[in-house]
Parts: sequence; C-alpha cells; structure tokens
Amino acid sequence: MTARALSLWLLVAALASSAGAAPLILNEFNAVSASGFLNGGTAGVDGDGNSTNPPSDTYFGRVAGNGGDWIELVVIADHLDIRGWKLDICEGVVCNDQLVFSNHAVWSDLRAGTIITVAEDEPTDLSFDPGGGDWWINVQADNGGSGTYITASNFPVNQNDWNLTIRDDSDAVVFGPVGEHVPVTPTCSPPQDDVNSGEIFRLEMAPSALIDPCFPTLNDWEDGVISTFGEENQWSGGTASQSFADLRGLEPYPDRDGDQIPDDGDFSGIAGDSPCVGGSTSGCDDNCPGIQNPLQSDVGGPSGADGQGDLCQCGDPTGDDETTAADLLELRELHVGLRADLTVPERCSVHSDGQCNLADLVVLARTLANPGLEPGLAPTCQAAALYTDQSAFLFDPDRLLEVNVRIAKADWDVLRFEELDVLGEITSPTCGNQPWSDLFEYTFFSAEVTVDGKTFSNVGVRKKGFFGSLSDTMPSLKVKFDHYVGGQQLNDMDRLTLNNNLQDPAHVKQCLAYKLMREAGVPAPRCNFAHLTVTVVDGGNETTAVDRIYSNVESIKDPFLRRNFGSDQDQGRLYEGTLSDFWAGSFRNTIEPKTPSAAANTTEIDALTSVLMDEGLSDAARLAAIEALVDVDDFLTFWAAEGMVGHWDGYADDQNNFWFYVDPADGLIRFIPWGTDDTFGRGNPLTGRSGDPVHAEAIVPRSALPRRLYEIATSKALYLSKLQTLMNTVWDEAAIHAEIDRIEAQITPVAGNLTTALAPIRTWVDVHRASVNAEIASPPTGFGGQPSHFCFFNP
Amino acid sequence: MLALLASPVLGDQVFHSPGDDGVPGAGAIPEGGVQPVHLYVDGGSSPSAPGRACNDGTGDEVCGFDLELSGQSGLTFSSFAADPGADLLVNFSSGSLRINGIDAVAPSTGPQRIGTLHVNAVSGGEVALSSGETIGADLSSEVLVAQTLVAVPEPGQLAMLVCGGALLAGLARRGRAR
Repeated sequence: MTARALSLWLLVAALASSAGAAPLILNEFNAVSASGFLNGGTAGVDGDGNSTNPPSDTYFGRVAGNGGDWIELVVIADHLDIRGWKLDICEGVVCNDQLVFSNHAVWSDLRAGTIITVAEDEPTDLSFDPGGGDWWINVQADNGGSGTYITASNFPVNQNDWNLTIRDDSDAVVFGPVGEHVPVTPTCSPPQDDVNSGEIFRLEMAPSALIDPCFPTLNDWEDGVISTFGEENQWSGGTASQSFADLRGLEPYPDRDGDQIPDDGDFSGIAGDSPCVGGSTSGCDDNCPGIQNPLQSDVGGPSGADGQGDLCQCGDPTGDDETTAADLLELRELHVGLRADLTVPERCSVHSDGQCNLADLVVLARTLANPGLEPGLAPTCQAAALYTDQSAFLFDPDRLLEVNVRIAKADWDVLRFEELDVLGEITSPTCGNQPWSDLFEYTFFSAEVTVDGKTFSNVGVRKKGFFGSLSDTMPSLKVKFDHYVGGQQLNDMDRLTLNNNLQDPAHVKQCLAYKLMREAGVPAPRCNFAHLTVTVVDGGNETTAVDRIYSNVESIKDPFLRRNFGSDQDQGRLYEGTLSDFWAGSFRNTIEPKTPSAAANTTEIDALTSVLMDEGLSDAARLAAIEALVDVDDFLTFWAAEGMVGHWDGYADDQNNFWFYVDPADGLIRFIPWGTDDTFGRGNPLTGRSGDPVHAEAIVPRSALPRRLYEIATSKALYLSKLQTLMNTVWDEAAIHAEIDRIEAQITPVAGNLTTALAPIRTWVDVHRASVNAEIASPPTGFGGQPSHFCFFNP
Repeated sequence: MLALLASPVLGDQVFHSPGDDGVPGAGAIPEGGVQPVHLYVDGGSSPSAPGRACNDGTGDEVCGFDLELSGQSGLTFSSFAADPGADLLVNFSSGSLRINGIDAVAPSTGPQRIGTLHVNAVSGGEVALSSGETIGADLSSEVLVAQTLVAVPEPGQLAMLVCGGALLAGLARRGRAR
C-alpha cells in the first residue's frame, strides 16, 4: 500500500470509527493586535530586531493588525453543506458573538480541502476555482457587510483565551471548542498554547478527519509568526507546510461523462448553473453532462449559444443538433397526424414536465419566434436527462469500464476461497429447508476501488456466486461503495456486480442475452463490460491477482425496480429463485425473500404454489387462478425470451436463476431473468432428471408455472405465438452478429483473440431459428410432473 | 340545417359563428348541400399582464391548440380554408379535420377566427369534436370543448316533412277504416 493509500485508509477508518470526525475545522486565526505586527515591533523591524524580512502574512504582507480580525477554516467532508451553520466566538467561557452562514448556494456543496476565511475587513472573494488551483473562499463579516453569505456583524479575534465552536444548522456541535486555553476536562485535553498579540494560532499538520481538539496526538495547534491567510499553514521557519493533497484528491469533481469538463465546472456548488457557451471549456459547467462532448459545441440552439450542448440539444426532434423551424414543423406534423413519430423523440421535450406534448410545441414556437423570450428551451429532454440518470452512463454498451480493486492479501486470500459447500448442502438432511442465503453469507472486505480514474476508499468487496461461476482465482465480485461509507456512490449506483463469465470463454453470452431479452420487453438487467484488475497488497509488495474481462451487470435492486416497474422494495416485494419453484417442499423453501417485508408476506407465492399443485383444477379454473396472481402475458414473454436465447439454466428449464417481483401497481408477480452466462448454445446438460422425458432447445416447460400453462390449450397457444413473435421481431441474425462483432472488437484488447471461443456461438445463432421454428411447428410433448429437486434427501 | 352550437363557458371552446362575427350562435345551416361552418377558438376575455402570456400568465389567452373534427352519419367535409391570420397546420380529409394552431408570442383574448370548414350535409349527419386541447397563458393544458353539431332540415323542409307525414298518416287511417 502506498503512503497515500495508507493515509486515505487511515482517514476513512477514522471517519468510520469516530462519530466525532469533524467535517469542518479551525485551521488558523489571527491574534495580532490592531496596531501590532507579527512578532511585534514595527513595520520595518520585528520584536527581535530583525529588519531583514521580518515576518509577514503571505497575503497581507507585513501590516499593522495583520489583516484585522479573521479566522480560517478548512472543509474536511466532501460535498459539505454548511448552510445555517454557526460559529460561536468566545473569550474563555464568555461567548458574545455568533456568525451564521447564510442559505446561499455557495455553501451547499463544498468540496473537501476548501479553505474558508471569515474576515472583518477583507472584502468577500468568491472567485474560488479549484480546477484552476484556487481553493479559497473569503467572506466579509462586519457591521457594514451585506449578510449575503454570513452574518453582517463585527467579531473579535484576539489573544484573550479566544476560542471557536462550530455548530451545524440544528445547533449540534460539530467541532470545538478549540483555541487558546480551552479548559481541560476528564474527556478532553485540548492544546494549551499561549498566543500573544504578535502571533497567529495555526494547525501544524495536514487537515483531516483525524483532527480532534481533545486528543493531543490527533492535533497540533501551535502559536507562531508565519501567517498564511487563505493558504496552507507554514511553520518551522517556512520549511514545513500543510498538505491538502489527500483531502483534495479524495474524489475528482464529478464529470459523469468523463469528457474532462466537470458537471459543475465553475465550482459554484450547482451543476448546470453556468453552462459552457461560445466554445469555452473551462470555468463553466458541462453543457451536456451525460454525453461526452469535450469541445462543448453549442451552436445549435435557436439563438446559437443557448447553454444546451449540441449533443444534448432539446427542441431538436429532427436530430440534426440544431433547433430550427424544421423541428417545429416536425412536431406539428406529429400533432396533426401527418407523421407517425419523430426522428429523435428524446429530443422533443423543452418544457418542464419532461413529456413531449403541445406545451413543448408552444415553447418551441415561442423560442424560435423570439429567442429572447422566456421560457426558453429547458434542458429537460431525454437526451439531456442522461444528466439525471447517471446509471445509464455506467451501463453504456460502448463503455469498457476500467476497474481496479486494491485489497490486502490476507483479505483477498479469505475472500476468494469463500463459497457455499453446495455438494455438502445438497446431500445434507436439512437441504431445501430454507433459502441458500440462510446457510451461507459471503464476507465483505474493505478495499480501495478505482473506476475509470475515480478512486473510492473503504469500499465493501465480496465474492459472489452459487455454483457454476465459483472460482478462487477469478471470482465474481460484488463491489458495494456504501458498505462502509454511507452515501458513497458511482453514477448513482451504490454497487457493481462483476461477473466472471466463467462458463463463457467468449464473454459475450451474458450481456447479449440480457440485451435481447430487454428488446423483447422483459425487465432484464443492463450489462456492459469491465476490465477488472485486482491488486493484492502485501506489505510493500503488490501483485496483480486478476486481470481479465468481466461483465458489469446491473444489480436487481431499487434503481432497477424503479426503472422497470416505477416502484421499489418499500412498495413491492422482491424474491430470488435459486433451484426454486412454486412447488411445496425444497423448491418452495429455497425461494429467498430479499427484504423482511417480503419474508413476512408470501401470500402470492403460497397461493400460486397451491394453484399449480392442485391436480383437481380444471384448465379454465387454473388459468383464471394463475391470472389472478401472475401477469401471464408478461410471463409468457419472459418464458419465450428464455427459450429464444437458449437460457437452459433459467426458470422454465432449470428452476434456477430468476427473480420475481410482486408489483404494487396491481399485486401481480412479474419475472426477472438472471444468470444468463450459459446461453447461446450449450443446452441443458442435466437432461436425465425425472420429469424430463423430452428435452427440446427452446420449448422446455419443466418448471411448475410454464408446465401448467403448457397443459392449457389457450395459454399454450399464446406462448407459442409469443415465441414465434420474438423470433420474427427480436431474433435478427444480422443484428446479433453485428453485436457480437462489436463486443469482440471492444474486449479483445484485454481478453485476447476470441475467434475460437466465438465460433460455436456464431454457428448457433445461424441455426437457432430453424430449431425453434421446428419446435413451434411440432411442439414437444411429454413434460410430466415436477422434476426432482437437487436435495438428495428432500427430492 | 346544420347547427354548430357554442357550449356554455366551461373552458376554452371551439365554436361555429353563423354570422362569421365571432358570436357563437345556435347555428342554422340548411341541410342539403355544401354549407360553411365558421370556426372560432375562444379561451375567454381576461388578459394576462403584458408579456406574461405563454409563460406564467393568468389570463385567458390560447397559446396553442390541437383539435380534430370528424364528420359522422353521412356528413362529409368538402374543404377547409384557413384564416390568413391564423398560424395553422392542417391535415384535411373528407372525414376528419385535424388542426394545430399556434399563437405563442402575443396571443389575444376573445374569439379568434381560424377558418371556414365547408361541410356537405345532404341528408343530415353530425360534426363531432373528436379531441381537442389548448395550452393556456400559464402553459398548462386544458381540454378544448364543443358541442356536437347536428344537421337538421330547414324550417320549410321541416314543414313539408310534417305535412307529408300527416298526409301519409291520414291515408293510412282511411285505408284501415275501409
């Protein structure tokens, strides 16, 4: 581990372990009297008789009063909001002055490492430009101040046992008191330095979350004569100074599309309030933050530079990156039925509701007629909405994520060997009595994770997998950014699921299967690729344990549910099936509820199980009962899509790798596919099990729900029709080959030559249609009863 | 006759002005040939503060509208002539008329003439408002309302019809008396 990494780790560990970790600290204050000079004396000679370079402030120079009353603070917590925070200014225990930070936006999103000075005499300066190396904000607080940023009130700073306490907007103490002669208590031993009227009081160590006024080993405030208003502190004759590198290097400024133009490029705290125009690329906000546009081209609006980058140009349904009368005409043609759709529908909306409707037409007409009139074109079209859906960028198919996990060797060697003893479990007398997750839980380990240059410290990393993907040399991983650090996210996602494609040496099957399933209308996860390296740290030695292509698969969590169903687990109930089915016994018992509420209410599962197991129901009664519990139309699509991509290890064929959601919109069960890394060709290798007299390639209703629906003539016909429809509309050999070619080109630089591995997949793509059509023409029969379960003693 | 009736003031309206003067009438167009229907759109009379309409105005200006009229029960459309002062995009057929209108920069209050629809009502029929929407001064959406217009015989024709009916009834009674 490097020194930087070690310090980062220490910092975050301190944050995690100490509830008192300060988000904002006192860094320096000026105790020089109004008429005095640093180190006493006069303007030309200090109190020691030194007339050659007597001490002077790096900003004010050597002036009487050393700049007057001022204090200097440092922001420790990243993205800190100090609106309404208070500075209690005291002399001894007498606190007559309080300054309050206003609700101005400048205080709403402060970056770690920012220096804030509060001065009575120095005018406010918000030129603050961290990107350009200026991390300093100065605000003036005096009786004649504006009050815009901080209370307009004079305040004392001196050598009279002066001390400061910082409170948040709810008056809770977040730091302090700290200063001169703060009383010692049984639980707090603050520094006891004497400060005289020719000195400043300063922190002589790097500012960090470790700083604690109560613990002598965790602070080092000293008196001194080297004054650095608005800059890093210096001491030891100027040979030592504070380092802000770790604070300022914790996280780059958000640049969601990675085009090197920060979303909040003017560092105002508000992304998008000062978009780049006129070709400017610095000191301004990315004008199209969801799509890479490093040149910030913005000539396409009705008045040219309108702050909406051309690639995000709303009001551009013609898709030519400009907003012109042709766009208005196209919209109007849509409205009177002269065209069926827009060329680029996602660029339609310019009004505030995000929809494409008559109001957009009016606003567009108004803007084109008179570009100066409000409202102008609002950045609310879907093209620009990538801004609010950062996760879309995370799963952009054209993006190959570079992911590095740095982890201690001791942790890695535990992590990679962890796994459920599946063979032991299926031969256990208790097998099938409960979800598999009740038997075994992977352990999270802390690691440093870097994704496309952004480093996250103290990230939770664990192994994942059940059986087919288990590996102790290249394990599939869950990367949970917020496992140890609350709120830590990447592109609005709190985790990555990195699958090793162990069953697919060509790597393409998983993402390709999900893609086709999504195109079929199935709520399938998004998926792209990551080049994962795992760096194992052992003392001073670092080795690369993993260096290969992984699939980056969207986790089935609330963001996925909200995107697909418009609700989340606070409203609906989510379950995972692993060797599970709606059939009493081991199949039913292994269904895993994903939340306590899902565990507490299994009404639909129990009811569906009864309906499927009841041998006395007529076809009509059974279908009606199923329809009351399951969105049958959606399920038929899901089932047909599994067959379309050859997902033998899914639900219909193998009672495995599926999720389902009890949708609060109508209370019906909807299915979600999972574990599609063995699709496109191999077929089910487990064909000798009971209940499997015939095993086809696509039509394999072995599980309880598809088998019952296959027994009913009407639902069987609907299913066959669905499958045929998918093969006619989604299964496009040319498009699939093109996608395989695209992926091959994308990952070959990391994965190596994939020609041989891809050959059987390409062949299968070519012959699959004929196989499916033959099965549809002559549907297989003989699917009898429920297959036996894997549990040896609970079949 | 064909009657394009103005609805009570329930919101933004499209109506027929028989006198082509912006005054909605009970409407009377003789059945039996091509007849003009003078179309007006009206959101109301209260103006927004100057410059506020089509932004955050509180008045009755109509900043944009979509409407679709259809001919039913044998009534067909012959032509539509847009008012030269109206910014319209029209999709016309003998069975339906779809219009998009915009007045987004300086819209007016009160009845706004949009054009004349010629209908062919040889033997009755109806003009129905299939759908309609307006965008008001505050850029919110409102439903455009109208009553269905029904083609009915002219009074003279109606009298002849009544007389004819009475004659037939009398003949029928005489036949039964014999």
